[in-house]
Amino acid sequence: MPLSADPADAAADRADIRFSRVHKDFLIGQFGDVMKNLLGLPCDCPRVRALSGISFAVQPGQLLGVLGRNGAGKSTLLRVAGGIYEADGGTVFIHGNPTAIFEMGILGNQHLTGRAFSDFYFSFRDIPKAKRKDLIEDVREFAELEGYFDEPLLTYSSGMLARLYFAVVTAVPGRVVLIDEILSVGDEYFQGKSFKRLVNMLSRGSSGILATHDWFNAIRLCSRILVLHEGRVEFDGSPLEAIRRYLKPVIPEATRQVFFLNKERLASRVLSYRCGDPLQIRFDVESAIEDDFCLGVAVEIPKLSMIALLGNDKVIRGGKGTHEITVEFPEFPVSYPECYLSLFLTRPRANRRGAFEEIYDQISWTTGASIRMVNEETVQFGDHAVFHHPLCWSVR
Amino acid sequence: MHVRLNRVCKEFPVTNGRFVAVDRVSLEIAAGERVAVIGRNGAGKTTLLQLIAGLAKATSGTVDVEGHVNCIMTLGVGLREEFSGRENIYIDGELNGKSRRQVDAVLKDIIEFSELGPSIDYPVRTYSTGMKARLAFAMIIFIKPNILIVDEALSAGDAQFSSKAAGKMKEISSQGEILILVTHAMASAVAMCDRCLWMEQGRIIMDGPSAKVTEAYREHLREYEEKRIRERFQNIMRRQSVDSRLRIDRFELRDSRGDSRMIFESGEPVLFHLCVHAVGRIERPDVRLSVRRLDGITILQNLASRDGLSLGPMEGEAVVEASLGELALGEQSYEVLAEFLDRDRPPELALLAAGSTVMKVERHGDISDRPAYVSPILHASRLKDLPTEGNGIT
Repeated sequence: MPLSADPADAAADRADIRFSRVHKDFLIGQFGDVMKNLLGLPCDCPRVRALSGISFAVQPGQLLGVLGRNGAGKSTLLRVAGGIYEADGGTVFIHGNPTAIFEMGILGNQHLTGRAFSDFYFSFRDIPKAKRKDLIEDVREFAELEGYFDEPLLTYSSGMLARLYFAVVTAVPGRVVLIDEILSVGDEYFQGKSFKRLVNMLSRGSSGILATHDWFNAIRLCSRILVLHEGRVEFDGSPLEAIRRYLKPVIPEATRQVFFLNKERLASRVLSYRCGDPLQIRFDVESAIEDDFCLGVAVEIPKLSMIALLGNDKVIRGGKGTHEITVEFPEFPVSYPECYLSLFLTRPRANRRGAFEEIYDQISWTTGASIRMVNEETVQFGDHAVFHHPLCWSVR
Repeated sequence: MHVRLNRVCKEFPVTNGRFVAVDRVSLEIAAGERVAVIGRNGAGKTTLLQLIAGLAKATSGTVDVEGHVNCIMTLGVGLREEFSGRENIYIDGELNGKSRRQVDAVLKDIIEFSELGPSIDYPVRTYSTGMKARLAFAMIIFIKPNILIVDEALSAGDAQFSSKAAGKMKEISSQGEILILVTHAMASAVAMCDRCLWMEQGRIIMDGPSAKVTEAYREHLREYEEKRIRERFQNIMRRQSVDSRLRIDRFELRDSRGDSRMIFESGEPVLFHLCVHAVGRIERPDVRLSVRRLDGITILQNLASRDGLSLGPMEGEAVVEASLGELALGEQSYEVLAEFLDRDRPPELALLAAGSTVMKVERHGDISDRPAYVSPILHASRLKDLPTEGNGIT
């Protein structure tokens, strides 16, 4: 491939996936226009641009998250990467034959049984017959179809099809995987199992793209996230910053009724903590109303998409003026190396007009103004759990 | 005013034989009683109410009801879709033998209570389920029945309306009327009613104070759910000996009464209970307990020796227990892993035996989001209101 001046080409020689200024249009004209287009005749029928100037590269071992709302172009991007759609402009490079884990499920002969489908898929992937037996057994066990594994696919529910498909394609992952919202398949148990299987797959060196609108999953799996908006790359970089951009439109504006004073200074602080030690934080809140308000305190570990609630809905007696608030943790429970402290000022539950929390003001990593907390002790996550909670032991 | 049922049966013919929906039920409800009826779907609750309301005829036994019965059965039934809300109120009043003047007298209250606003003059077919529920409830409550039967109608309104409706129902029964409430929500059974009937397969299997009956029913549901979890998570729940010198005979989670459970509410006391059998003598054993999220991330991990318990030499049977205190985990399912270690061996060879089980945590109260760790008790804070008087966080 010829090198260009595009920044995404910087590491092009090593990249597993590379998009350079990729465009994709869809015709929305009449049938006649479509025929003209197919025949290469001049046609000025209306088009909608699904992808516009998309450039990025994914390095080996990296999973790129693609976040975006419905219609942002996530699925189109994956389908262009998977070769299902052809790009109308720009270049697409994929290392080898990608494994596509799409929600759409299974196309093909609906009269095959689950077992026969697995065998067919593995033969299609050039897996020798001797190896297939073990793989089919792995699929049977993972997909939890019980007796249905030997029944035709047309008797399956959509959930069963999705489980089978996930089990089959992840049994022999290629070097590049393309994942579309697959983590929503099955119940809590199946999702946990699927998640571990994906992590395992990535740790064996697969690279790929995960398209989702659930940032909870993206942040746990991806070291880099791209935010798509109306077919364009709005942001490409660190997961935290990407999620901030992604959530920005849905985060309520701070009101001037009850708000944090010196928010910028408060938020720019980095607090250090020791697991099990007491911790205190003091801040001022200005209230322009007489009503009571609520304080919520949470500690979040975005990387694990984990929240610890350390106090919810503490009602603070209202009154106009400056409230000095002190929050104390007798024993700070987090042993993870790094976390974010979030503070929320809300309308008390009893006074809420709807089911939604009515937030006056907040300090949270999702808004950009965040209080970062760092563990003073060097702990290696993996040796320790995320939290520490003393147990009282006894033996007889 | 009373309701008396004596050995009442209601059978429905089915393709092969008969289905007994209500099976020899005897029951007496006196004036002023508020009775909740609980039980799983298909237990016969609705049929029982239909018998009391006179909407169904008993196959055998006697039904003796004194007083004017009014019921809000399945939602929206009884509302005429093409008529407006206001017209429906008049029709219903007429059906209940009220004059136009009597209806006019309460019309304003009904409209106000139902919170329908201008929608009251639109056809009922344009209403949402919640709006229909509110109208039906308001209509019935102001027509002043002697015996009021409510079947799940409260669930359709929002939380605010439910509490308003609950207050109104209490008011009615305090005036000596009878209230019968069919519900799946244990909280409203306790809040609304003093007496509770638990139905199962057409029979009343428990009749007593609401708090007691709902607790027994909850326990029953929990056992059923635990059976389901046990089947679902059988791959996770296992015990394994790595070294033949020690085996784990039992690993379970216990509640405050010492009963084995798998489902806990956030905030309840939890005890990890381990029974082990050491075949040989193990000089310096140790135990590690881990709580993991289903995606494999370890939330809590404790080592007995690090928490200050040195297990002595172990031989034969032993029971090791660890109390988590009030459960600080959020609503989710977790894998709980117990490992016995030999401290005289290098870490990679230390594992003697391992056992794992599953803990499902249900939410307690109104906690939004999905916290992994909940610790409201660790929060102590105070507020100083600078310009005026002192203040505190409750």
